[in-house]
This record gives sequence, C-alpha cells and structure tokens, in this order.
Amino acid sequence: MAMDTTDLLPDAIHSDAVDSIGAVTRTVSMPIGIPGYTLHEEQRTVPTSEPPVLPVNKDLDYIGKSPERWDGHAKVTGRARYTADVQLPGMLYASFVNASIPHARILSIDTTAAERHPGVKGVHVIELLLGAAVLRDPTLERTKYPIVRFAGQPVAAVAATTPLAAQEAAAKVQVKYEALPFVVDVDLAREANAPLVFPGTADEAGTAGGGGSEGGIPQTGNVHGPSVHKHGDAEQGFKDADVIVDARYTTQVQTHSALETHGVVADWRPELLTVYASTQGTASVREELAGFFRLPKSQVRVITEFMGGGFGAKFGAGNPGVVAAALSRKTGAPVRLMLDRQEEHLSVGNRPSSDQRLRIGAKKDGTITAIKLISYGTAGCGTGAGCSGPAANLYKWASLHTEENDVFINAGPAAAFRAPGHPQGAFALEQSIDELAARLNMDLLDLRDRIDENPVRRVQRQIIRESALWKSRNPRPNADPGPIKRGIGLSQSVWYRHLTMNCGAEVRVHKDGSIEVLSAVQDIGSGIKTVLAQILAEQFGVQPAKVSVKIGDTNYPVGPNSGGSVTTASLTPAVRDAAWQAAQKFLLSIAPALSSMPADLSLSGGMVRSASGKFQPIPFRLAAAKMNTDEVSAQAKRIPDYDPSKYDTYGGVDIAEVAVDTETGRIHVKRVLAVHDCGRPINPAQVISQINGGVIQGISYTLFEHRLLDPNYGLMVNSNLDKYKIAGSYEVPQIEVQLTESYIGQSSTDASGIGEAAGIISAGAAIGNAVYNATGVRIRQLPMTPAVVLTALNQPQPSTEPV
Amino acid sequence: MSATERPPQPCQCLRTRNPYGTSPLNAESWLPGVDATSTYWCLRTMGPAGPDEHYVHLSRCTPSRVCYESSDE
Repeated sequence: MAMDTTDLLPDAIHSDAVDSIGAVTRTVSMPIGIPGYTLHEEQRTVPTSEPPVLPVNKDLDYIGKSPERWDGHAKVTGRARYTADVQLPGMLYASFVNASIPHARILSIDTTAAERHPGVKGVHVIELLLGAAVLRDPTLERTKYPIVRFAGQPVAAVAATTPLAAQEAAAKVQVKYEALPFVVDVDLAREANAPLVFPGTADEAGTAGGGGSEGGIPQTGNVHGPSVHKHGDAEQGFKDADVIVDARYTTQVQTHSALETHGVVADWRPELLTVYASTQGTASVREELAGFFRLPKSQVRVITEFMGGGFGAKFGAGNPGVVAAALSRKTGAPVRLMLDRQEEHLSVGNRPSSDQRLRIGAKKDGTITAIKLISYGTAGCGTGAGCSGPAANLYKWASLHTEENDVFINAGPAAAFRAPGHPQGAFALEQSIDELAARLNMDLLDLRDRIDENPVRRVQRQIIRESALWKSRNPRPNADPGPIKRGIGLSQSVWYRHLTMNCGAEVRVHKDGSIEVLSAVQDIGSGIKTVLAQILAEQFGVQPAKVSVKIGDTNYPVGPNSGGSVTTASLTPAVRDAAWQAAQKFLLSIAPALSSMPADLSLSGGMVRSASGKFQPIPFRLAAAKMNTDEVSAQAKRIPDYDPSKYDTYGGVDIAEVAVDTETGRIHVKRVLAVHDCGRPINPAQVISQINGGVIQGISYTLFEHRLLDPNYGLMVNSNLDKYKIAGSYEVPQIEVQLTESYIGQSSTDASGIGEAAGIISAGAAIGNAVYNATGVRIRQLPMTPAVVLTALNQPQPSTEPV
Repeated sequence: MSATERPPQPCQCLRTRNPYGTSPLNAESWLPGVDATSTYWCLRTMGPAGPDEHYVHLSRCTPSRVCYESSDE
C-alpha cells in the first residue's frame, strides 16, 4: 500500500495531546462485512491521531499475506533460546519438594539432610505468610505451613549446582504430615458427609474461613455455588415450548500439556531482579513478583525470548517464580526452576470437568423459548468450572436460566484453558441442538439459520452447506451397514472480542535505514512477531524480514497478556499507530534534504516516492541516510474500539467425518472442515496453523485426554505423557480450513483473535454429532473412549422421533 | 451474583486470569471477572487458598476476611 501522507498534521504526530482532549475526531469510511458476501462501507468517527483506513487485504502488500515466520529460522536451527536454554554464570538448578499425599497438615519439615547434600546451596520452605491476619481458628496456628490440599502441591525447594544434586537433595527433605480425610471423586465430594477440602462455611464472616459472602454465592460442603443467571422466565418458556430436549452430559478433566513446561530463571541482584520466564504475560509476572516481594516494578525485569506454548495456565509468577526468586536472593546466584512433566500435570492447572443437565425448549419453527443449564464441575481445590458460555451466547433464546457450581476435591487447582468452559458447554449445547433439529424434523443448518442471526456464522453455514464433504453426508442416522460406520457431524463455536487497553509499542527508524518495533508482548508460539513485522512492513513499504522485532522484555512498552484471544486484536492497532506516527516523523526528517513537502512523499516497494514526480524513487535505506537526526521514534497505546456500542463475537462452523468401529468402539476422525473468522486475518497461514492446532487439541480432548485419580490414595495415576494419552500423528485427520475474512471497522488494523475459537470449542460436539450420524447412538460423555462407545452402543436409545 | 452487579472491592492480593486478562486491584476492572470460569489465586500464597486457609474468590476476598489487604494500604 502506498502510504497516504495527506493527513499529515502536526497534531497527528502528537497523539497524546489529541487524545487528552478527547474531541478531535474525523469521520472515515471503513470496509465492513465479508468480501464476496456482505462487504460494504460504513462510517466511523475516529481520533485524528489515527492512521488512514486500511483497505481490504487484497489491496495490501504485506498484511493479509503469509510471509514465512519472522523467527522461523531461529526456531528450526535451534538458535531460539527458550527459558530452559538460559545459562547464566554460576547458575543453580532448583527442584521442588512436593506433597506426597492429597490432604494433610504439615507438622514439620526437616531440611537438614538436604542442606548437607553435596552441591546444595540453598533450601526454601514454603511457609504460611499470615501477615497482619489473625486467624480465629486456633487449630490453624499449630503449623506455619500451608495445608496440603492435593498430592503434588509444592512445599519446599532445593537449589544446587546440578539438576541431579537438586533432585537428590529434594528427596532428602523430611516432611512430617498429619493426614486428613480426602476426596477426589466429584460425586462423592457433593455428598453431605464428604471430607471437606475447605472446612466450614464461608458464609459466616469471621469464621476460620474468613469468608464473608457479599457476592451471594453460597458454599455448602464442597460445593461453591450456584452462580445463578436468569434472563426472562424460563419455566414459562418451557410451558410455551412445543418440543423440549433434556439431557445430561459429562466431560472430564484435561490437564495442560504445553510442549514447554512452566519455569523460570531468576537472578536476584540488589538493584534488579531479572527473571526469564515461560509465560503468557511478562507484565503479569513482573506485577506479581513486585507485589510478592514488595519491590517497585522498575526493579523487576521479565524476559521471554521464546516460549514453548501456553494455553491459559502460564499467567503470573506462580510458585516457580517466587520460589526461584527467593532461592536466588538467598544463595546470591541465578536459579533455574523448570517443572518436570509430572509436576505439570499435577500442580499448574487443568480444564475443569463438567456434569451438565441441559434443557432446551423450542417452538415448532425452531424458535428457542427457554434454555436451562445446571452444571457441576470440579476445578480441584479451586474454582472456575462454569460452562454456560455457549448456552448463553451461541443462539437467540427467549429465556435463559443457568446455575453453575464448583465442586472442591483434593486435586490440583484449575487454570484457564483455551476457551475456558466453552468446549464443555458446546459439547452439550450443540448435541442438544442437533437433537432438537431431529425432533423438529428440521435440517441442521436450517435450524441454526433460524436461531442464529450472526451474519458471519450465516455465511459460514452457507460455505458448509455448499462443501463437498457436507453434501456427502447421509442425513439418515445409522445408514451405514458397518461394522465400521461413517458419519458426519456439525458444531458451531463462539468466542468474544476481548481486548486489553493496557498495551503499547514503540517504533524507531534509524539513519541507517533499519526499523524496529519494541513491545513487552511475548510470542507464545502463535506468531505475533511475524504479525508485528507485517504491520511495520505495510507502513514503511519494506519486506517483513527487513524489520527488527524486539519483544518479550518488560524494558519495552507494556504488552498484553496473551490469553482470551486478545493479543493481535489489542496490540496491532497500537503498533500500526506507532508505525504510522514514526513514518510521519521519518518523512518530515528527510523532506528538507529532498527539497520536498512531507505530504508529497510516500513509502512503498522499499522506496521513498514523490507523488509530484519531483524525484525518482529512492531506496528506503538511502533516503534514511538523509535524516536530520540519528533516529526518529513514536510510541502509541491501544485506544478503545472505534464503535464500542458494537460488541462482536467470532467463532466458526466445523464439520467432522468419523469412522466408528462398532466392534471395537474406536472412533477415527477422518476429515475436518473448519470455517472460521477472526476479523481481518493479518497472517492467514498463522491463523490456519492455530486452527489446525485447535482442531487437533479438540480431538485429543474428545477422544483421549483424561486425568485419572486413584480414589484410594488420591494420586493422579497417569501423570506423564506415556500414560496421559494425547492425540498423535496417527490420530490427526485431514484438516481443511477456510478463513472467513470479516471486517468490523473497530481499529486501525481491524484484527480480532483466533486462539480460543480455533476448533477446540466445537470438536467434541462435531464428533459427537458425527458419531450419532454414523450409528444412531448419541454419546454424551467425554472422553469417547472405546469402552464408552461400546457401552453406549449397547444401551437402548431414547426416542428422537419428530413431533 | 448477577454479572451486572457491582462486586465489593476485592482484596488487593486476589488475582485471576479470565478471558479478559489478568486484572488486579480496582473493582471496575473486576466487573467482567464475575464469569464462572474465572480461576483465582492469592498473591500471598500463589495458590487457591488465602493465608487464612480458605479459598479465594471474588465473592470471598472481601473486607470481612481476616487476611484482607486493602489497595489503599
């Protein structure tokens, strides 16, 4: 794109002054809708400090294209330095001591033998830091150690000169427990006489629990809930319904298995605490370390050069962060603390389970009169097991009633996990919608057209409707004679336009022609480095590989935490704004030497050009040499969306083809067609890559992954990847992704996110509906193991005859 | 709790990562965080229990709790 400089005004360069006034705006015309379907233009009022409106992708040079990953070479050659690769002079290696039983009071921790172990330089015991709090339950004062609430809970750590010495010494730490009754079964935990994970009710302010319940969510035994949401009169809605589908669905706990485990290297110096972290939020790690150690943020620096994946569990410093920092302070040496795979399964997060009772009432034309969802799920010894998002947000309804309950058990706490609550909720909702269609004798896509007005989803359904794969589907269930039966199923997904305004970037142009962007944002593997390079390339008219991307360091302007699909949507407008402002400064800087007015100059094709033809195009590097200063730079922060009255969702429509072996119960997912939107795709190849990953992760969740806890000992019995089955190459189907390029007119890049909606939300229901199409049997339980499938095939099925 | 109700001022040590990002401190930033999928932890313990050994949650980490720390402190 040739950059238009006609908007160049002195005020436009100084965006802060303009923004602080808050009234200096202009009206622009922006592309809205889907090319080939609904594309049109709409007016938006934007601050004058904003850059010119970008045209649609086909008219751009670098945005919307798929250059190779900016850091791809470093990754494939091993040059990329991940946290576990960091080596600092004199660095020590730390190892956790983890609780061996699921529920206990720690009576004593003897570190004497560990401290004497060769190579050991320091031991840290996790103590209960009561601060000013005065506990009213005297029994809690018997120990200075936290209560153990799950096997694998860190209780201490050892730092030594080698990893082996640290592990050996950790094994010598003597922990004396007073075992407490425990419960790891969700159903048993709900019973009145179950062992309590958090004794007493928190509804009585001033008890040992401390509690207070202004929030109005009750605690009864191990159940925290219900969290109730009501819209309209659901009971009346069911009375008004011609058809009601009513079913129970259950889903399992899925543990996090990012390729790189949690970990840090902490280097505590008097003037600065430097922490290399495998994190989804450099800002969150710094904020927590500063808060925990009561340091000014300026004395904490967090660096994430490369990061080996995170799906929601890598926010904040966590125990690894604070323990490594404490050991570094104690020993006067840098300390590396990386979790092993077992610790990763046990202590740093998981996707909660769910047990859902879902009722949907509808009129004969498909109109939904009522949805009622009552769910129980366990987030271990934490909360967060809600799953009502899809029920609340995928379709139109006249009334909605949801009750969500957390059930405490003696297991590791949950953490956010890619689209929290949504794979669980969609598994139930989208199978029930299919069931509703059968009862109404309606086509699956026609019913969804009736109850889903989202214009993007409507286009996506049309793409599905016209696909060869969908056309090959026999709508009659169990039509295949078998024993291996083929079926095709459908599911939609929904996610939300979440943003963080708390992010920004700086762009610099140097006299040698080099251009760089700086932001503390971390690249968790999804490719934000490449995206930022493309933004700069588009602005300056140079190849993405020619710009320098410096991110993952809190020394740079604050970046967004990467979760909830916020990174690209939040950060790229700030980067483009900074790039545009820096480009204006650059042109101002070279204009005198070119005897030109800045408004006559433009940047494209690696050249500085004169609109009036005053001079022949000059290579960018040579033009930069004419700058009247060594460097120009601009910083920009994310500004709010142009039209905050519009709240967008995005998602997709996925179909899966399965082959069900009715003799062995094995499900083989053969093909997936995934049609998704994410606003303006900045780098389609990277978006597709995320969707491929989401589909595979969704298949893995649907068919394989399952945390198993031994009810007799309270231990996880499959806490390693040799026993915790994850989809491998043999289970990966042929995946076809179609992106729905969708413009919403909300920012200077108009980008949205893709991470959450990318396949994992819809996989369970798409496969479930495909299995029903293949066999006529509906499977309402995850994971769909061969045993589950065979059991379901041998059970009588309820009638789904049309009304 | 209704999503539209204003929650009480939470303890400054309450942390969460919900779909909106990590949101410490002021109550306004917590408004989106009442979602039932939010997981919480305590800055003082780095775990789901507070220093008083009860679980932490937006509805629990209120001024009536003995370990409560005000953001004004």
